[in-house]
Amino acid sequence: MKPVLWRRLLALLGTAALVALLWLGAKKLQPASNWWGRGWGLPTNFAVHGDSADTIFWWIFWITSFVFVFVQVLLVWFAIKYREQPGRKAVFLHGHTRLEIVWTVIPAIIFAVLVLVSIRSWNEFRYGNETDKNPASILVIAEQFQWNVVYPGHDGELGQYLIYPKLTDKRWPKGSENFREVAGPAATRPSDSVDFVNAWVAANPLGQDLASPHAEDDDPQTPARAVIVPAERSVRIYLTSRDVIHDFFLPNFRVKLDAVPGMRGLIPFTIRKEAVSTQEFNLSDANFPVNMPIWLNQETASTDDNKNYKFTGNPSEYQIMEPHDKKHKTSLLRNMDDLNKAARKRVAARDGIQFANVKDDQLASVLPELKQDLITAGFTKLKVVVHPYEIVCEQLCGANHDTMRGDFYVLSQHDYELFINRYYVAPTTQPAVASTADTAPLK
Amino acid sequence: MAATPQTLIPQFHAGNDHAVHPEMSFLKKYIFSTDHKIIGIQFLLVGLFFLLVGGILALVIRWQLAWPSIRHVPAGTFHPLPFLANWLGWTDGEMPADFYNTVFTMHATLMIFFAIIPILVGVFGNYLIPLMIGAADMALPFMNGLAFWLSLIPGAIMMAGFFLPGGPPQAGWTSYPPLSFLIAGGSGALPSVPSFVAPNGLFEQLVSFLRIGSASAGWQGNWPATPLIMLFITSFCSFAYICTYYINLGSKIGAFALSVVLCGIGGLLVTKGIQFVAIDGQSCWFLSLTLLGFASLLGAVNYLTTVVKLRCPGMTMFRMPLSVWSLFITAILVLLATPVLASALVLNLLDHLRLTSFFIPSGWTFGGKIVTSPNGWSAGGGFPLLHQHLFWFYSHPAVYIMILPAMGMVSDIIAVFAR
Repeated sequence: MKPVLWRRLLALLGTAALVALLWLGAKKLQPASNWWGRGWGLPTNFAVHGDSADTIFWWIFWITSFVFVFVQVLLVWFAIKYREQPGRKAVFLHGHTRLEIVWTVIPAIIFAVLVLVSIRSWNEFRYGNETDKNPASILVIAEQFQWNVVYPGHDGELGQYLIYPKLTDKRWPKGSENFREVAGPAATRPSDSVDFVNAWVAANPLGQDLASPHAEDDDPQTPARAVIVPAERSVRIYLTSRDVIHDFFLPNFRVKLDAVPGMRGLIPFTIRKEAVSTQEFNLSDANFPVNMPIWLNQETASTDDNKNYKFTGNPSEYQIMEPHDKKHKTSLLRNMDDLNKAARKRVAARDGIQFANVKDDQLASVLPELKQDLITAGFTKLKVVVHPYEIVCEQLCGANHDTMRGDFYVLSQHDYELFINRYYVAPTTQPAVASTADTAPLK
Repeated sequence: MAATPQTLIPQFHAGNDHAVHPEMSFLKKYIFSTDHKIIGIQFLLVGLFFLLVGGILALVIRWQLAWPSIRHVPAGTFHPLPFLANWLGWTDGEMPADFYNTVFTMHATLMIFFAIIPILVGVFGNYLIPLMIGAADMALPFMNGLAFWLSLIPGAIMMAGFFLPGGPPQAGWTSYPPLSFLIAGGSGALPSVPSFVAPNGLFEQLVSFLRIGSASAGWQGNWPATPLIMLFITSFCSFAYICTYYINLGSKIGAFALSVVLCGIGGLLVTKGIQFVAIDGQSCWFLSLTLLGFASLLGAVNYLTTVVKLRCPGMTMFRMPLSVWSLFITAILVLLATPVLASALVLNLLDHLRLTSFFIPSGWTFGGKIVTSPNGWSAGGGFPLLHQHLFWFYSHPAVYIMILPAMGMVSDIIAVFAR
């Protein structure tokens, strides 16, 4: 064959291979198959500000895609069209001022419009709910490799955190004045001061400012089982880190911010109603999602006058107790357990074996029994977290960075109020209990 | 009638037809050369070497993705990692997380700083600029060679990270501080002065004279023989390059002997001095990139001077080919951005070695413990975000440093070959 023919054949084969690759890739493209949108597109958006961000994203995506394809097609087409041919001579072009003005002005206008739209969208997101009088404030403190959360309690205000004593401090921070019966880190022998400070940090891991009036009823959870926020109410997540730089990313809420040690970031956003993670199920329902965490709250308990329902501190410790066994009250179900886990615990306790060694086929027999017991205890309906969202750490934060994920639950406003106020006792006839700030917990 | 473009007629060789070319020695011509083409080829060879290393690391990353760890796959579908697990002795058959971090950190670093930038800027800048603007060579030929030889020392330091205890850095190619100044990617321990390591085996003992400290002093550097020899050879060569042009004695043998002695002393001093600073993978990373930035500054100054001063008659700025324009702009970016990166890296290196608190916030704890320097104190009061700002002051222009030369070439090649 002539060399020219070879070249043409190769060009054809190359083009065919490119088209085949594109076609195969396009076949892989599929719409989101899950409720949270884990397909090839964006994850489903559940934040109020997310729509404008997504719109800008898609505009930029299609504009750049168009320009990219257009330029690449021209590049290839011109290379073929103006290839060397007998009798063709090179032409000297010095440029075309009008054309250059056109291809400079058009992108400039596009960029200007995008900038204006972006500024508007950003301002709405960042400052839109600044005037909101009653935001749900939550402090998230990142740490290798877990998320710690502080809920503000009934007063709705967060205290100060991550205030640790320094080696050179003459006095301990307020609220722990007499820690270990010395005046402060600098008052000890220099060789001991590091140990003293470390002991202080161990007793107050989040560095809570004990003197702050708002810190009293705060509810710190280290680590948190999940970050819990209300829907349809402006949420203000304050973000910081205890050790290295982490990043708090909620793909479904178009929210992402670095957690920088020594700084406190703010993420203000509002979540739509349809994002609520929980759904009520009848225990007798055959479709009861046995693998999803169950969300207990006071309302559930009110079906049985709170007798069989107990609150102790951490939300994972709310539990439904066995109603009939008055002497040895055992737990039927703990908050955020799923039914499978509760059944597994039950088998492990009954047969005296390790929790992890319980076989799956053993669960099938116990599950109906467990359900029946729960119904007997007065719980016909339970709220299940069917849509747990994902928190991802988007900043390399150490060896186990890949394990730094978290759950994010969205509750209805009503449920969130119950959750936040679960320790709150309304001052009725009794005078308020004296402040415990001076006595707890560092002694 | 338009004036004949007289200025387009090549005039550069007029009068130079009978230029005297004294025969050069092989060493001067091909090894310690100041010729822009030879230096370009040297950059190409070194860049391709690092491209190979970085490419192998990329394969290791893919290897992990093909056989993920047990916690990343559904129960019952775990398959142990073939070959690598046996060679590297991972008994549970999965790639350790810190090893993975190491691999992608070094992959990114080598590819960006030691492959892409040297090949696109170093190779094409050196090779093409004088040819395309009609200059005989670069404006500062000796400095051009120096830029090449000085960029070998950082290469040796960077590769030394693979051999040091604790392994290469794990903090990503961005090396954000609170993570990067902890040794071995955040195990909580802080680096300390080199402790005593007894040289193990004849080979290790033979190169003991290159280590800092000694058995009698009670402590010795922790560098194994391989990186020591790499570092010594590269620093020896850098001095040899200088000696080639600056040691001029009456006799060639005398000059050669004096050069070898001077290079030996210089190489020894550099090898020993660097061990005081580069004590683990991360400090190797900081030091290496700081020095590499120095070398690329020399190159950038050279490109700018050449383009501004050595264009042949008729080659006005706006008649320059787009490739040269892109390299010209790249050189400006390198000149403006690299010093900022160097400052960030030096601050981070000081934090890493001595906890100097440039990037450590006040009252900072790690793993529930207050972090103190080797002297037992802790200052704090720094600002971790500052490193991000300084780093991206370099790294945002760096993406254009990487892409502009390629864009310039595309503009030229398509335009020239389309008729």
